[in-house]
Amino acid sequence: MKRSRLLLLLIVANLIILSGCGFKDIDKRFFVVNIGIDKPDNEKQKYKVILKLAIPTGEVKSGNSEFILVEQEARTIADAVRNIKSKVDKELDFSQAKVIVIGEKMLEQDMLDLTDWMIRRRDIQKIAYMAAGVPDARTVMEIKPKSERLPSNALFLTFGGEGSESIFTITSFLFDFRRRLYEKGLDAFLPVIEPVGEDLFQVNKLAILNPEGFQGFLSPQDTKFFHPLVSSAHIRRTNVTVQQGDWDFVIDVGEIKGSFKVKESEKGKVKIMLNYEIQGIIEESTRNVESDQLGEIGAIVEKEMKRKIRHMLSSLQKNKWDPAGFGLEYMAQRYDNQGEWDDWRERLYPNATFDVQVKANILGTGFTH
Amino acid sequence: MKTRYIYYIILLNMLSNVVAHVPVILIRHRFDGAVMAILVGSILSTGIAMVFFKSLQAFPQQDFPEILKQHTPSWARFTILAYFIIAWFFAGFITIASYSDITVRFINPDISEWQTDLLFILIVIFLANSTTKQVLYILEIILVVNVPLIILIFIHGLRSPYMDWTAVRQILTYAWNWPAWDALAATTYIFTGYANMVIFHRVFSQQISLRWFPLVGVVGLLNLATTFFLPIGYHGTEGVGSYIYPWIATADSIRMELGPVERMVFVFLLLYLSISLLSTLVHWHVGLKLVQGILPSPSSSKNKTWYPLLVLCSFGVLTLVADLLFNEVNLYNLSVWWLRLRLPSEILLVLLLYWIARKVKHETKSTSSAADRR
Repeated sequence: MKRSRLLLLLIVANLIILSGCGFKDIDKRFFVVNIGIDKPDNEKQKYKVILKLAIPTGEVKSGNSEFILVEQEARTIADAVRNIKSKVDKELDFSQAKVIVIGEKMLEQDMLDLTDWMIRRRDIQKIAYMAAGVPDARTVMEIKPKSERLPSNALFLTFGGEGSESIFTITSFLFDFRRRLYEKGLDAFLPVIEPVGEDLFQVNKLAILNPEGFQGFLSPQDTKFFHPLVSSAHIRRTNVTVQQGDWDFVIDVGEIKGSFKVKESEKGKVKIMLNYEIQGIIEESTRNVESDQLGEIGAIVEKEMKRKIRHMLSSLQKNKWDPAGFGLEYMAQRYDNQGEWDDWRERLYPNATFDVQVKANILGTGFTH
Repeated sequence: MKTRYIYYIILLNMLSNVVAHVPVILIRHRFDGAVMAILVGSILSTGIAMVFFKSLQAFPQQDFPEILKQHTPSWARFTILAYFIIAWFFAGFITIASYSDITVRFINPDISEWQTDLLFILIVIFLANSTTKQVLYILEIILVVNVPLIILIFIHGLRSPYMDWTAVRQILTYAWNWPAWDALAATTYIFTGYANMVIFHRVFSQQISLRWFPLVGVVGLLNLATTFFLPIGYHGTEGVGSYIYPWIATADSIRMELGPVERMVFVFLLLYLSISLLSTLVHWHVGLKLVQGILPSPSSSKNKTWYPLLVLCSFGVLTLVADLLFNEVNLYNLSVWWLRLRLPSEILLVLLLYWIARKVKHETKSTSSAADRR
């Protein structure tokens, strides 16, 4: 008994030594809520790092989010952060850094280099939201929506899917972004945040990056029909607008599903088969619609969607972009792994044909005819 | 003791290797034979384990040192036991060293590594100095508390839309490669929990039925597949190779929006803290008993109580010193080498036991037939 008591005493003593040092109180910390990276003004530096630091307030009121932006230019992100530390009075805490914004001009840089610091650090969450800021990260970070209660909360709600659910917004987490940068046959993308007026922002297009670097933007219309192809997509509500002569109508889609298969029918010829399924009701129409017309309308919607999806696919194929992962899907089927990536990129994808199937199920005409 | 405790020992070893070096080694060989190694290793290990248990049936309630004492010359006993002591000490050492590394890196970077080491070592020494039965009880309690939560994280990770099954299928297309030795050694280590029965067998009096034992192989295969494919699903076929601790990176990528904490990594680390300590505890307890098999306790009662503590403390001091000398890379290389050596040693252990068991059976048969003739 005596021995075990002695050991217990030792353990307790050790615990006391351990807990003593290094832990700072919450009121001696600055919570970084948003990290921005821009092109530096000074040619010699490589990054301009902007940190958004939340100022804690006693009462939480709408439109009362207080923050400061601190920026620093340096050759490395780590250096910039060290320098920022010397400018503020409290310890920086990155545990709440949930949004990382990369300025448009920085997209040209090597993204693996840029995200290296964030991956190496243990305290940056791998589930931080990645985004591109147009025209630059700082402008986006300065936006202060009137409805915001906590700094950057508007962005958290936009990307987290807890607040607004928009088909135009595709979330990319840090780990997902990084995986796509490495992966062959699966290109990376970043949702683009643009300011609208003084205190609003909009997220409705994608910046596409592949192993060679930044490629360009996918338009909002294409983004909308691309979204269901992303396997991690969780937003299913959308709408489809159809214009037929003088008749405009809109389908409110409660659920959109998209899937694809890649088939190599004969050597050197690849067919990508896409399947879309929607379910919805008419939301707005310039003409009376009778219930027995629903099947007819379904056919019109299918035709219209096919046209739009084909447009999206051809803009992907034309530029050799592959954010949906057609290439990875192809390589996952091929057991002869030698040269599969070169085959796909050089010959198969540029010449692939698409077979788009859409099934539209129109459930009703809404509240009126 | 009930038979379920045997399965706890095996399960513990399966779980404790998720964080340490096994996934890294497998992932390093993902394009050249890891998939095949997982399949071959599972079948091989289940077979070896069954031979082991079958042989043990000849020696009810005896542990390995006692068996050696009765059936082998003393020089052989000394060499074999000394080798095993080193092996079991090492198993504990690698777990504790890599986990204290992880603790410093991810839980509290403000404390030094030797302090964390010291804390873990003291806890392990305190518990490993219990009787064999008590160790099994501790094992049950901690597993019952932790395993459901670990399975919850596994399932949550597998069901998440961010788990990319296409990447998994892409790796599966590399299945027809001859397994690399390193990968095979890593795979079989998952199943090695049964080897702790060299000591724990002392407290089991019943015959162990092997009828359902292949199920253990299936569970191990599932565990291995999760260990290997979940990080690939989260970090892609190429990107997964860039992480030193792929599983911690994966746990950090699993998001539980409405959970008590959004980042699952902290829950995961705490669960694995207890699993790792438990694993070290079991290994060092076996190590201690093996030492006692070579050098019997001194006769005087005062020295007798201090003797096991002395052995465990020397394990602890060795760990502290070694961990100060080695960095992360050394540790990785060391454990790869240890794993490479371990597989043949394990096979030798089982063959030795099998040989002794056959000899014993043969002898009893001939003596009984001699008795019949008379």
